[in-house]
Amino acid sequence: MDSALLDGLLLALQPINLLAAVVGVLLGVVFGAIPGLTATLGVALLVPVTFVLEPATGMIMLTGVYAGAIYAGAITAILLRIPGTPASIPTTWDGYPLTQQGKPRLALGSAALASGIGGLVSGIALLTLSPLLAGLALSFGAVEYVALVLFGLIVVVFLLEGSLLHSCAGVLVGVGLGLVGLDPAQGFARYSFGQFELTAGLGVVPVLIGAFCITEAVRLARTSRTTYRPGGSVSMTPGRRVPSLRELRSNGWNLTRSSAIGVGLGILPAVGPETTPFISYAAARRFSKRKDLYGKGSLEGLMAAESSNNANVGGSLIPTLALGIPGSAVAAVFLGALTLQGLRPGPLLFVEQPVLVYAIFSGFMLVNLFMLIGGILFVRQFAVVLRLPHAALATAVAFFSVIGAFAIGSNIFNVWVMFGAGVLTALLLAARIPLAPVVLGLILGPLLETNLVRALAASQGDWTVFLQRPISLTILLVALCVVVFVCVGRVRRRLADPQKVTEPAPH
Amino acid sequence: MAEQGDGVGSSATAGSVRGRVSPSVLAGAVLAAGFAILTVTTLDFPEASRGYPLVVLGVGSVLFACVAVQNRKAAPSEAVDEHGSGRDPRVAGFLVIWVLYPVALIAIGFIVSTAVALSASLLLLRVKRPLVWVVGVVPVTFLVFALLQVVLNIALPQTPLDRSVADFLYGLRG
Repeated sequence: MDSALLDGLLLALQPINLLAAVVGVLLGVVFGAIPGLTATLGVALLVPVTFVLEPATGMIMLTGVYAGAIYAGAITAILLRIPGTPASIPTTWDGYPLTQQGKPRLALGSAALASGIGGLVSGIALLTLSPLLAGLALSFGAVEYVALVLFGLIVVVFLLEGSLLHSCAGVLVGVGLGLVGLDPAQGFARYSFGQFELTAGLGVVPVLIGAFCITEAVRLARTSRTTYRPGGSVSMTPGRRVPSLRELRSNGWNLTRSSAIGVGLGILPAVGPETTPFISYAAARRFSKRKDLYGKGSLEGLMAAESSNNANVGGSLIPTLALGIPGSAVAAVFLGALTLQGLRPGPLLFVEQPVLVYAIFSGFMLVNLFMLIGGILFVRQFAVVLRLPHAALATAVAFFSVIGAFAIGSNIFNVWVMFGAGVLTALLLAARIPLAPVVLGLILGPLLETNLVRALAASQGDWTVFLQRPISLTILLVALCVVVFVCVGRVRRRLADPQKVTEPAPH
Repeated sequence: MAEQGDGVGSSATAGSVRGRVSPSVLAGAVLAAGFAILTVTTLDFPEASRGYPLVVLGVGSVLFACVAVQNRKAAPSEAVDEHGSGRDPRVAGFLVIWVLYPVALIAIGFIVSTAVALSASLLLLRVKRPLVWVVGVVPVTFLVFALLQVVLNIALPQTPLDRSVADFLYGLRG
């Protein structure tokens, strides 16, 4: 492992990979800073580009986009009280008041610092926990994988806020999409409609581009007429860019706790960077000695939110790389990129490609370092992206979506798959089905079916095998605990407030 | 994913407004019907291949029927289309451009189809200073072509014009 770690670090430090890290962060900042564009959109659009790059270069660039986008949502959150990404909603609560107090540079610098620290902490977790998890998973067989996939699907349904019914339905849409192609048991071609391309199944990447990119292009086109314009120019009154040493010391425990929350929740499917900052903000407020400042320009609150959402990025990559089970919707797209490269995310990746794995880890650390430095020094330049009109953005997103889908195998069929996925997504959003369960169902569905077939073949049709194997039984019991815990919580909330009806989360 | 609660309500007429079926109910019903049709098709599968899809699609059709019912009971005011563009012809036009773009890509090559599609899209969406943007589309198209074809080696559909430009760029690269 030591030589793989060193070789991976050296690979990440090659000029092309350093350039990929910087480019990735810059592109991520564009996607994160502009309200309406998201990290998922940015990563999904760039996946086809990584197809033609070396695996390490492509993956490092994607981690840069992911981390940069999650951080950059803070820019508009602080300057305009408009979160650039959903992960930056809590940042508006204290970031914008700081701007109103004439401290935009301090707010932005603190956000960059906290994001960088959260990201670096999660990078350390990624480096240490992933190999351990992968090592454990090497002993997993088909039975354990079925239990693990079921755990992932159950967690995404029960931990996502909103209607359980809608989340369940979303999972089944994703699993249903995974039915297209050859049946793993008999090799029977399902729903191929005579198209040879469909016998291999629907490509995950074109579907994700259709779901996240084309729909956003249409939404941007709809808003092109009534484009929001930041009122006047964004003014940056002079002032210090970073917190003082005293402020940093007093936030040491805050940053540690928030980063740990981000990493811990990132490991769970469905709890992406959009949810984490709310929890860490609430925790920071609870333990704070200056609760009165929260909502009025508390650096503590701002840094809690920003460190946790970036810590979630690395956390979500832990199960993605170690188990092949994505920890968030963006991580699911990341997983699609790995598959596109012909790599198998999961424990075998650590055995077959250890240098690549450690290059990705090292690249992730470098990405967070660049983001921290860039965020402190160049934030005024980053804010320029706010001036791009929605008409141009809609056009650019649509163009790169089509070309991106085409670029995968230079096949026009993938473009039609992408448009089909876009239509389906529009239907799902209209029906108020959240997309996170759909994405996880799409990724995990084929894994579930393949391993289910293998497990039942080995046990000669005996379903009790899932309860007989200790690891499988443990995973299923943990899943059951999650279900019980969530259901009890919902019942308590409903009893406490009978007027509140659980509404489906639209996205 | 971000939460956007739609509020609270349980009006008996929630799912329909003045006799019209709300989009969320209709979408749920369409998905339920789609799942039901696909469930029926699984009966034609070989027996050994039938079980898993039958369960997934069958349960899906039931769940989506329930989704349609729950959406009907949800808050009476569906999200107001604040942009007033539910049936905006420009959005429809935008979609038509980009659906036709892949067809044009194959027929007339990357450079011409891309320049036309980008210009048409920007003009349709009424970008400010359209002349500047349309003129800017030309160098951008060539730049993107160079990036995709020459730098990233993505095989793009080519006509003689595209091939000439590609040969020129390869010559520059040496």
